[in-house]
Amino acid sequence: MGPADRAREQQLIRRAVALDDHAAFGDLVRQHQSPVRQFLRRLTGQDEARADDLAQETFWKAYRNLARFRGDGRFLSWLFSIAYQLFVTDQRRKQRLPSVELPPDVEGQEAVYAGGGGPRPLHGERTIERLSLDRALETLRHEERAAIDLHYRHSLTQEEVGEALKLPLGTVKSLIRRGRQKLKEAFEADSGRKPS
Amino acid sequence: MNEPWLEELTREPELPDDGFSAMVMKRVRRERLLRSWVLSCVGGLGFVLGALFLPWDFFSWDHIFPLASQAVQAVSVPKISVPNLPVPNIDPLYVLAFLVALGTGGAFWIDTEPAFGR
Repeated sequence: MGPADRAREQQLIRRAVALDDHAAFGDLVRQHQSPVRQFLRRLTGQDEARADDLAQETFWKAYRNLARFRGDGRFLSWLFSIAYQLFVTDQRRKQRLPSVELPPDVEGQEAVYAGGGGPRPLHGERTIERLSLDRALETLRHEERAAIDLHYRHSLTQEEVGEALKLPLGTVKSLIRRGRQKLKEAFEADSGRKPS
Repeated sequence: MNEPWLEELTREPELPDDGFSAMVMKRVRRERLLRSWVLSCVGGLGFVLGALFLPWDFFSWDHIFPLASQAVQAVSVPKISVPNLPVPNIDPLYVLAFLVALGTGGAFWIDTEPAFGR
């Protein structure tokens, strides 16, 4: 994001706060919906419905607390921070509930697609490589997944990742290093299993 | 940086909006409307309770506008006083209907008036 984009974003935030301008907030949502939803999809293991619910909650919470946004960091980092806190809360609540097993035919469909066949993929247009990446990411703890995704996919600096996840810089560095190593191993192992 | 997983991670395309932002904005409007409605109802309730239970003398010039009253007296206009009327016997359904009307009207007004922010 260049200085001009950032100035425009600041202007939209000011309009949304001072004038309660719905259109300005709508522009902010449209501008940032993709990274926030992608980040939450990564965290939820590509559970699109859950990720979108959390993303909606993220923007609603951002709207209510917009006046508290100090503006010294990136607006997107602030959104990631809200999204991550909501995910962690939701994850804790989910872990307290009994899990529901998927029927065998649904699991089978995914397995067939991952093997290169099948009539309709469950993951939309996800390629074999992307599915391998999804599976590799699922071997990571959610802190590692969040740190890797924010740093490499959304180009946040390690300091910004620390602010978004509310973790010290040293912990972020260690999460990224460990996550990278795990991903490399899991991705290679998964790719090796695929039929050529 | 040339690890295949990393290339795959950074290659992921942007997600299309697909009505997501419209859904968020719908929720923002709905919840704001609800909040405004509750606030208006509380205000309306306060107004009705005040009108029902506060003594009519409370609304005299001496209580609310002492300065105005002094000014009025200064120009020798007779003091305006409201007789001490009994509390009217009003049907609770009427009060409820009044509150709903006031709340709804107030909520729409607050929601459409940009000057009334959060």
